[in-house]
Amino acid sequence: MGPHLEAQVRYRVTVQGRSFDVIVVESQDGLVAALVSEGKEPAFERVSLSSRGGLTVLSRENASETLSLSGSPEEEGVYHVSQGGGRPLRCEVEDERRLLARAAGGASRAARTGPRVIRSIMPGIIVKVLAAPGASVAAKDPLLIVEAMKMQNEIRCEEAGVIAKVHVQPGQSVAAGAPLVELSPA
Amino acid sequence: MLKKVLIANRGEIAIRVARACREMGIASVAVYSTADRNALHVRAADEAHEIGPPEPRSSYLDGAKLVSVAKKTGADAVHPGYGFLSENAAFAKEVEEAGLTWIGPPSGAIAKLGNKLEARKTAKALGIPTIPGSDGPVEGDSVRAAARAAGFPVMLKAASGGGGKGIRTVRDEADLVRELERARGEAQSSFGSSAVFVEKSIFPARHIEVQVLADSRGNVVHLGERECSLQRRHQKIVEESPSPVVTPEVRARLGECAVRLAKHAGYRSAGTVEFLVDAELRFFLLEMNTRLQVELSVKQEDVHARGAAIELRVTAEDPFQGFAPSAGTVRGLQLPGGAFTRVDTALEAGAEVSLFYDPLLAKLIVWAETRERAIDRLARAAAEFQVGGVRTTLPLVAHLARDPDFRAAKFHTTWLDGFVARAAAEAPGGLETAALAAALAAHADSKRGSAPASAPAAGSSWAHTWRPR
Repeated sequence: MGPHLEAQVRYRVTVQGRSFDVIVVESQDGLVAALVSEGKEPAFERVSLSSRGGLTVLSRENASETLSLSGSPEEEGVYHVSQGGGRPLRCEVEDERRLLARAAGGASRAARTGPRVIRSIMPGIIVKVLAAPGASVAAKDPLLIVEAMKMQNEIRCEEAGVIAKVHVQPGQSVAAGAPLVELSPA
Repeated sequence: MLKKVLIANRGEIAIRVARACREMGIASVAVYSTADRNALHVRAADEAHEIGPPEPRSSYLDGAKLVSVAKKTGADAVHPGYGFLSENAAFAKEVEEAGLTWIGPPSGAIAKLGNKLEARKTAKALGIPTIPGSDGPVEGDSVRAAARAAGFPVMLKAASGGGGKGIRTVRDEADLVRELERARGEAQSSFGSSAVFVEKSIFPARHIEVQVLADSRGNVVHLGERECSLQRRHQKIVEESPSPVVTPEVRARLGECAVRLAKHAGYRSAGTVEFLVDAELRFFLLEMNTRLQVELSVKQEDVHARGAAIELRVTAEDPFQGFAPSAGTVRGLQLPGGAFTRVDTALEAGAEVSLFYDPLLAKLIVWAETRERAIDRLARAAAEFQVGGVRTTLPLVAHLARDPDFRAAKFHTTWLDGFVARAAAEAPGGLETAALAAALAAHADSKRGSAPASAPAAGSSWAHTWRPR
């Protein structure tokens, strides 16, 4: 029997294309949480997330680990989590309100229903912009050239679309995660 | 005995030199660009002096400035580390002429061996096997003949190049003239000389190098070899000592050739002779590095007691995004410890990783009684090594430890690219843990008010990369 239903908050986390539901409950002694598996009763355990000199400690009932965890200032609800020895995993978290709003057809984060934003994966300097607003682009078309650590890198688009907006110009410095180009569906 | 050393470098090697000075009772002077004011290497030495703006050519590569700081601080020696001016014969000469001790080979030896063409000529004259190719620089007409003589595919190499730069592979004769033009242009702008020569491209090949040490009386010894075949774009990523495939007989011959070359050039101090080794364990001289190398540490660990040592170069690059460079502030740092585990680094929590300099963050080196155990130990240590805020090559180790080819030492100099592609394609584990952590982070954020418009409250749960909107 889990903690009292009213105190539960449900989150849906999408990572590597898979979704996990997590229920978080605030009890008198701290947080209790459970990962929801289909067809099974959620197994609640005491958990805590705390800071340790810039890193994060996730403490669970039977094990703890050190993680590197950061939020994304550009994207609400997005967190990057690295476990020891593992690669960083991008996690998108939606809470219940968002889930219900989306189910009811309401507006969600712009990144979902609006134009798709292509962001810089590395800090660097824009060398060349290859596509103009209004242009139709096909998958794998190069959109920009960014220079970083003395090497030039082509940024290509993943899916066909129409350039809705170009956020940068040649000579501009960009940070990792900075919006470069916005695409509307083809 | 030296009294005071000016360390003409930065990062982990500067710290390494400062530590050695301290252990030997020698005073040390660090230099730093304005971007490195708060870097760890500055605090590792007894004194520190600013030498200019972040751009290396205005600071770490400004030989005149470095000599002037050495004189001003009363240093009697200069240690150049690796990279930067360590293989610059002109700078070595400047230091020598200023009456200071250059901690490295004589400037004449650097000049003689630093030019790859000169080194090839010398090696040939000494009966050391060289890669079939041109014996002089090639221009428009001679390149075709030289390439045909060597046999395609061929490599075009800048004679004054080094550190894995200034090298192009040409598979087809149709591309030859165009590639030569490009190669000569790059050679001129990167190394100040457009001389390019041709070498046959050997495939598959292993990059195996021999560590030599020479005193100032003409005595030269070798300390055995390192296997450095795991490379990307000619940059080494994982090094091992000894090489898992070199036999005692080949080791002796490699060593003997390396010593012969160093002796003939009047070498002094530490140096490395690099060879390409083919599938039949035939070896050919590549070049000699007239300086300390990044991977000297793996040989140090091996020499200590025969066994196996492996080093991973932890760089600020994301191997799952085409090694895209990662810059930023190191929000949190956890370094591995434990038996026979060594980390050489200039990292600390709060350090800035910028794009101005080489992306090397740390060297992770382990030793064990066998290669098998060394691989297991490297994986264990890498799993403890956490760098928050910057993406690194650390996640590759777990994949390496599981890779049957790596375990069997079945690799060559272009193997790593395929390995990284396989690693990137593997579905990562730990998704549930990540999901749980992310949900808890979001939960705490929602309670605090999720807009990251201000600095986190005291006692906040974790470090977000807060930035004012």
